[in-house]
Amino acid sequence: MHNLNDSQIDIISKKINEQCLKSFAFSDELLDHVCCRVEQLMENGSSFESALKQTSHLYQGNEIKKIKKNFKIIFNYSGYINSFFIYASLLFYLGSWIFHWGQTDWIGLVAYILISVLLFRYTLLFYSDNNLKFKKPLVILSTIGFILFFVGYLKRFLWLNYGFIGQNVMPLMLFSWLTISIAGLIYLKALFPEKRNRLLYLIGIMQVVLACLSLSTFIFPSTMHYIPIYATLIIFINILSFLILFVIKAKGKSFLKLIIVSSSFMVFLYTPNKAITSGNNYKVQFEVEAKEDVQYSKLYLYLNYYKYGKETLVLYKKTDSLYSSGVIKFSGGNLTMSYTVLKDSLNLYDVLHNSKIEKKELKLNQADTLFSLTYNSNFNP
Amino acid sequence: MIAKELFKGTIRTIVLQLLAKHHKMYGYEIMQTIEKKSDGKIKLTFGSLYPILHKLESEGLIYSETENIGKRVRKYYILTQKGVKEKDSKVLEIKEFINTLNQLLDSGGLIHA
Repeated sequence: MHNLNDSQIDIISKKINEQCLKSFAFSDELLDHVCCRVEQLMENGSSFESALKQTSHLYQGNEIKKIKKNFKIIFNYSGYINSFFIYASLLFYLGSWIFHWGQTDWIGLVAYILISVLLFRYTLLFYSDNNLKFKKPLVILSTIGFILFFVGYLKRFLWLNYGFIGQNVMPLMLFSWLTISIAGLIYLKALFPEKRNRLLYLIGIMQVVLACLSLSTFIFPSTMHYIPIYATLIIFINILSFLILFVIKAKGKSFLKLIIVSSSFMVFLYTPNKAITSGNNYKVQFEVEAKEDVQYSKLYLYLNYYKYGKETLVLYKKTDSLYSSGVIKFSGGNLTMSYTVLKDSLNLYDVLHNSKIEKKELKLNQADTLFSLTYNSNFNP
Repeated sequence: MIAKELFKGTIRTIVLQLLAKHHKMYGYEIMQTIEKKSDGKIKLTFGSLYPILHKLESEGLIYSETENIGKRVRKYYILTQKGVKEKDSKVLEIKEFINTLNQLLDSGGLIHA
């Protein structure tokens, strides 16, 4: 057997390194492999130069790309990355609830960021997969879903230092849910064009139905008092679907898991602030009278509905000493809340749990109420 | 040449079986042996063999030893006890599958259907 000398090995090594393979997991084995092939060809009578030429296809860019792709498929890297994002976001969301009980905070924000990164990753995967059926609708729907989700959670979290704003956030999120769940069904159709995976389809269809059900609460306000029932139903179906996906082995289940997790986040986000109690729709407005002459253009009303949620309202200056909120719609009644009025936009959770800031209580027990509150600058932390 | 699709799912078992017989082998040697023993009907590529070897290693079915040969490093693969068990069960499974195929094809089950 012909053995290559050190300078010949150097030449081959240099040729391989020219293909930028420094980070390549198989570089040592590729060098040995090419050397073996060259030695074998030389054994059969080829010159070193000729043997080198004949083996050059082994380390060309396209070949290396194929190897890397094969490596990723065999090791299912993509699946691991998806699972990492899903479980990490679940952990962060759980952490957010444990530490701040349903209130928005940076821990919850991380959970939403992780989910939106995964949504964006799927958009890119759909876009870059040239063999994917229904590529165009999948790219369009997942892009729309990602944008709506991204804008929705940014509005939700970054408004008034993690305060809550009801306007437009939930419709954005719920439309995002609808678009990605439709994309989920199309993706299943693309993955299983002939043989239907009934269980996966059922989970996918359920997500579309639940998204429509949630959206109906915006289109038909009279259905708003069913929100607690809807939320319970959604969480029950989502937990069941997630457990099924956890157990079964099937292509495309990561995307379904993503839809389930993101929709669960939306439900938890929506429910405490909207499902106050069943009953009529109330229109409420808050007016704040400043005791002293203050120069601020707006004040902030921090409200705590206890187990039903918390929110910050902006009060705009109407006259020299009077500030007013917009008209707020509630579904329900007999609601007790604590409040405080401050001049600064602060983290809502910190304000409501700061014992040094004085809080007062008020009760919402009748419809169409105008609450007249007072602002005392001594309350400011 | 046998179509790739036909032997794709059996490469792992073939590699495990070869390692069981030869104690330790390196990638190029495995490729050449498979090609030789199959009379050139099964030809593996670098891209199809090495990711499988790494996957088998990550699953603890084989382990590797390196040896310096001049200025290059050669990686030898050796079967573990877990790998021996896996090989035995997979070889049985494939043999059963071949028998079933023979029954279907030779007895006319599929051909005359």
